[in-house]
Amino acid sequence: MKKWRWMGAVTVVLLLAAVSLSACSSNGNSKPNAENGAGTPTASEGNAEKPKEIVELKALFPGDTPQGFDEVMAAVNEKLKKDNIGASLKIQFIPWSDYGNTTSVKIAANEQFDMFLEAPWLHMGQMIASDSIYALDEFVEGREELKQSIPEMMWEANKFNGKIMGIPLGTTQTMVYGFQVRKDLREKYGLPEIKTLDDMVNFLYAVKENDKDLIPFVVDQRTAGHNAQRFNSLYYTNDYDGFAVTNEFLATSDKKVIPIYERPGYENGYKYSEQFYKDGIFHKNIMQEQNAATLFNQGKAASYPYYSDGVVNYTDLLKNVPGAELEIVVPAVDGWKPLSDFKQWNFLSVPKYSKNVELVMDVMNWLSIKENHDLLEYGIQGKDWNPVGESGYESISDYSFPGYVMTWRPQLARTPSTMIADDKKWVDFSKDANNFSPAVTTGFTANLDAVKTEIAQITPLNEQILSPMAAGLHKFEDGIAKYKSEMERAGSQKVIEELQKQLDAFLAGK
Amino acid sequence: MTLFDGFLIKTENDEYSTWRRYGSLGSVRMSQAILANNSPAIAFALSVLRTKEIVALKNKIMESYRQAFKSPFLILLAVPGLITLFIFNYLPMYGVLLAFKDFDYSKGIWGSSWVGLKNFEYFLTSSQLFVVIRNTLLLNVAFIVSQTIAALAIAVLLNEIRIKWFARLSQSVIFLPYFMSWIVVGMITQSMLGGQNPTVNEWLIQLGLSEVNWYFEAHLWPWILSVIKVWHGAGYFAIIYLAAITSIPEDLYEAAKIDGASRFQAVRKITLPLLIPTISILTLLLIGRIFNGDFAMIYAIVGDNSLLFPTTDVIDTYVYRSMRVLNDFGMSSAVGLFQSVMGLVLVLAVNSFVRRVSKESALF
Repeated sequence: MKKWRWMGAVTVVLLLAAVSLSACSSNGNSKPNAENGAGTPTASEGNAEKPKEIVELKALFPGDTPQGFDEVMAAVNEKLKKDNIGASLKIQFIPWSDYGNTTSVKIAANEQFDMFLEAPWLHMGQMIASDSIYALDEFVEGREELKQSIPEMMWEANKFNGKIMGIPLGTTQTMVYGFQVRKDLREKYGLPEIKTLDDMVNFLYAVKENDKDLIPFVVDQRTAGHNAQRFNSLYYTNDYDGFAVTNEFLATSDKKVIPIYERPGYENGYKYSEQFYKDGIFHKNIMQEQNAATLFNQGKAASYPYYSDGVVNYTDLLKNVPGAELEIVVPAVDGWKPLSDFKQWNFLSVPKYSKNVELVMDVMNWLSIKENHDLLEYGIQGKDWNPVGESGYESISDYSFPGYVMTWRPQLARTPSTMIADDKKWVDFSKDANNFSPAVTTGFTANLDAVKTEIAQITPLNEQILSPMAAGLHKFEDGIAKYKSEMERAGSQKVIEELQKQLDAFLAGK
Repeated sequence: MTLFDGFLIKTENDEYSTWRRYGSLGSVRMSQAILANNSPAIAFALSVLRTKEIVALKNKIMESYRQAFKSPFLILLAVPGLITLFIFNYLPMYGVLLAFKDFDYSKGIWGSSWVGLKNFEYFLTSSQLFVVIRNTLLLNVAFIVSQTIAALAIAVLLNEIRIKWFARLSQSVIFLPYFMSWIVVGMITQSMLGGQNPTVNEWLIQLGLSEVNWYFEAHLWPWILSVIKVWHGAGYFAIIYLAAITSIPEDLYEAAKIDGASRFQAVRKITLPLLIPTISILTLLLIGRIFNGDFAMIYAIVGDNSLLFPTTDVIDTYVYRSMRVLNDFGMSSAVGLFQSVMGLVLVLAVNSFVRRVSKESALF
């Protein structure tokens, strides 16, 4: 008896194993068929007046699914159907931590999807080198709305080896660095308007003197490295030469590749950091700070980094801290024309395995029409947002679509109604390509394959040495000496030669 | 009586040694299966055993076969496990090739070009090589030792609790942190030790001690991380040890009691010695992964705070930072392979040492 009971159990186990295994394999086999997409109408949609067959386009983007996304998506697909584009969208969000690996593995495994966020900081270089994504030039041509919504300079500068490898997504050309400053405090101390970096430094010390409990300048550990540029007086002039080729190497206006520390005035920012840390302008635990924005918004700090990226992060401050007023300080000289390579960080690319590239571009063109752009980026009008004037909007729900994955267009972006005038001034400044002088590297993308070993050893030096130095923890002289020797040990000379060779070849062919 | 018992009794004449062989190990084997990410390592190790041992092993295996035929269903039971082992542990080993390839998405693993040992170069010539290997090894040794001691203490104490519901409750409560994600643990640590007014510093002040700037003091962090690791994982190992303790026959304790042994003596003379094979095997399994830093834990807690790198930067976090720009599969696989091979070598070395001391406690 007992024996039979055991046999029963064993049979069940075996059956389960067999079923699950076969389920796996049949899944694997059926996938390409099911998702081959092209020409397969989705059952639920279709059948309107002389409609095109609807193909479901699958998109992969990083991040979390926005709140209320399903409703907006339904509205988007409804509108797509009404406009007879012949496509519906299916967007899958993948958590940031997995996004890079997931997409590259899916591409390596030839899995079917039609568009995804690609970027040089992700694996765009490899994707291009391995011919895994479409060159979109011919598809952009003739899709007027899409073409018009992005300035010519931005199209031009974001080509890779002369080809459009992804639709450049961005609202600004190059972010401008500056400070968010508590105007009410400045006036309380009787200080004049901040016009130069020296004025800014005076303000920081005035805070230190007058309000002992306030942190004069609060910054997250993650972005403390930007102090080096933010507190460099040269940055705010037209003499700030050199534009990044990689994180560690610059190209100067006389077409030479140099390591960052050879840039004139490189030490300025670090010297300030060193002094600020000692004098308590930065707070003591800057190296593990993760809540700088919160501290500033709670009124516990007098200034905070500013980037002209169009993101409004000060609403809580103005709402919750009594008497708080804000001004944006970019202590630049008159006629400031910072360098830019007009390069965008994010691109929408189409994998070679997708059979729907024409349709993807139709949808992207469709999304470049203001009405459609607004629908996906800001949600359903009246429910998620209300227009404010011609180019503003007021958000009335928690819906927030990460526009940088798909919908960002400099000509279409609306500014939030909560954005203060100072901020809008600099955001508008950054949108306009004419405000920047083109860097020599405009249109150039370095291929790091030949110097991978060196780059892999150089990359971690940033967190290891530069970041604490920019937080003011190490003496500049000691830190930079160490950085130089580590860079040289890792083979910076070889990298410079390689980058110089590539840049020369690029410039010669221009 | 279950089929298992019958199997065991038939195998050996001496009931006590049977128990010693299989009773306590039964639970260990189970935990082994859970822990064993290095079963390929074991398989490989088996193949390099010396001839004399192979003959002995062969006899043993033949004996097992004979037994197996008497109860074939036991073998059948193993089939699903073997299949999953093959699919998830052996098939993916094909990916080891990546370490020697200039991997290219479009060409696939096989189609990419060979680059020899080029992928290993960056790691092995890095100026941080010594620091990160040292940190990885020392931190893991600290984790293994502290966790084992804490888990044993918890298991022995739990075993002494006579009120059943309370024992179960405590067991669950101690086990609970194991299910907590490292991200959450990182945030808890941050609020205890970081921020403007760290909670722990407030305690220190109340005790009349001076404040500590935790995130600046690299030398404290091996200890802090060990404490966190014990809090997080000791409950898990305690349950394994508790299972092993339960399988120690009650009569041993009864005999000891009759001879007038105190509880403490019983623990020292019976429980602990009989747990040694379990301890040794669990430790050996952990040593197999000693070159693998616990990335999830260390990155969630330390992050990019370079002030703590001198003592907390492990191979995995260093490689993560190196690859931020390149995202190179080949180079990261090379480091992974390096870690596995070093782990295997260590397991073989330690195991052969353990064998010399006590055959019972060795893995193979």
